[in-house]
Amino acid sequence: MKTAQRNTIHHLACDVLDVAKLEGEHFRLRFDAPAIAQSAQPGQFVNVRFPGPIAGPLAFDSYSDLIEYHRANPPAAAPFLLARPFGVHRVGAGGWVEILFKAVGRGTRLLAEAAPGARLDVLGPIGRPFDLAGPPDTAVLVAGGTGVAPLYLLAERLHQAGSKLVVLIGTGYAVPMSLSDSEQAVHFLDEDVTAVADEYAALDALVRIATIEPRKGCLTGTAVDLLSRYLGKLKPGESAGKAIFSCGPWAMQAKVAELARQAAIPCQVLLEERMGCGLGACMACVCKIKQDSGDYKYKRVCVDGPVFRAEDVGWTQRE
Amino acid sequence: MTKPKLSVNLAGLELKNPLIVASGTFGFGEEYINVASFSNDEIGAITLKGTTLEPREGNRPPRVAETASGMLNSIGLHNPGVDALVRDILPRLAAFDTKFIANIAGGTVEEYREVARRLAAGSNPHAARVHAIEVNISCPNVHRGGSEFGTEPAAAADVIGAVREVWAGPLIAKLTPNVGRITLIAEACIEAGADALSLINTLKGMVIDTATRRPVLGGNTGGLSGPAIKPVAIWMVHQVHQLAKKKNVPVIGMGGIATANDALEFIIAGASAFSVGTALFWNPSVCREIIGGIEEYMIRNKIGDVAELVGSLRLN
Repeated sequence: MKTAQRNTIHHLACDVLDVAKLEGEHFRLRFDAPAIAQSAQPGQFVNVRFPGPIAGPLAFDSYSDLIEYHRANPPAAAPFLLARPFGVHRVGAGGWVEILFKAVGRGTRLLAEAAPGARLDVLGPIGRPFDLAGPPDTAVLVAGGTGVAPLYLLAERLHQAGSKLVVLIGTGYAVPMSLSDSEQAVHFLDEDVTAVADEYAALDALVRIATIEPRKGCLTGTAVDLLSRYLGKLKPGESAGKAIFSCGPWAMQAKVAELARQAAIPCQVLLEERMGCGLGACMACVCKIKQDSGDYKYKRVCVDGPVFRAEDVGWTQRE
Repeated sequence: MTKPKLSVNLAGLELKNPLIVASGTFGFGEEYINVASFSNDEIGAITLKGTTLEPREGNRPPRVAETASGMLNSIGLHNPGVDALVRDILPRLAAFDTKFIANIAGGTVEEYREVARRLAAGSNPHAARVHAIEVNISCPNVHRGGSEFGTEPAAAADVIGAVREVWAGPLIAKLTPNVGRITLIAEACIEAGADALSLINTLKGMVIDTATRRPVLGGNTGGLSGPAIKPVAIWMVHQVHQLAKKKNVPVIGMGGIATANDALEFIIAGASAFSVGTALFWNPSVCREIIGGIEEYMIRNKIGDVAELVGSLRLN
């Protein structure tokens, strides 16, 4: 419950600059937020409220004003109240911020349909970022599904810090990035596993992709399968200087944590949980985290995380 | 026109304006200060997260689910215990120019009394930071304590009476709407020594995941808050005010306030002060907007003192 020193969080009305439709109902939304672009650290998130039914005024002088407004602008459905957290995907020198998401519910669909110029209500950057003190010689990034989004900013910063990158991405079938074939074979996979994500490859990363549904150039399997093969080929002593960074579904990250433990490689995980405020006040987004005493206590994913050391997470204590 | 008077005296608690942040929506007073557009110093008072004698881990997640114009929560009084509040948190609150209301809960009458005693001068070296105690007899999310004390007039009186014995400062009873006649509970609390009444706490509810046929919340049921509950709250504030005004006991109104107009409805219904809670979750700038909006309303309607508006409702 101790409140650590935190960064300034900006509450901004931001213009949507662009929404790009990617494979498999994934979308990459860019909005203008210089204050967030300048200060966001890898692993931090932004809380975004959706455009659409809530874009109108929230405060009315009287009920007759409110009724008049709703007659003129009949809401398609009940408006959303709460913001939704999205990991910061990329930031640009021009002051823009990008999030990458899959349109799964009404809220993400509304976001996907946002036109350039639409207003978003944005709070951020929030949360404890990845610990990049003493960057590793080799950083192994493991992404499950849209977990690939926040790992990009991390990859960029690690690349700048001089770390070599291995990026292992697992999805159902669709990959929300542009893909190419690599000519370079990798020692831990068959020769036909050649697909790479261009964005990560541009950072000199060794990238490989696994899909659950068979897909040309991809390993049929999961991100955990990729990691397991990669670690399986490490020779004694080669664990040194490596670190694993992971983001994805809970069950996947639990397996990543276990593989990291067996290989004695430090591992940081970015967790997701249903949030209320995103500011540490409501105590909703908790998960069990090991304390110095050895006991597991509920900690807030939003501000005590979302990044935790894998060995501290109570992976089996969720149910 | 000169600046209208927004300050209020709430049963001895002097507030710079009638806006109080609601317990459970503001942590222990320090969570929002990192937001650039937010300042604790602009708020009338801050109600701290519900505190029990021993630390509590709270309910298992998921702990929130959004509903139509509302939110269901099942936190379960997750808190570090009263001793940690006194030792670790209260000293830091000296940095803020606002008032703090401790919100206390317990599983037995004796636990309520003991938590209050540990907050009072004599056992608490930082007692000057606790400007009032709000007694939570209305939490819907714990099995023992909480709302079971808020649904029976005699039980409510026992808890309020016990706290009254050890706490000399302003004492607020927080009432649950999950009752047949809220005025019966209100009356019992006043008789037992409550200086003020705050209402409403959340309405008990459930959300079901049709794919799994299980409740969405880890705790199965939760408390409904947000704009969805506002009309219920307004009506209850009106009813309780009718009773409490005869005893000069002020009412703190809450339940779904998100705009200045919402807050004004509560004041007109009979609230001397009001609390903002769930709205903070989606709009951390809401306090500033509401205080500014009330001031504008008062200027426009030539009202010099917010007290003139309290209970000014004229029924049709």
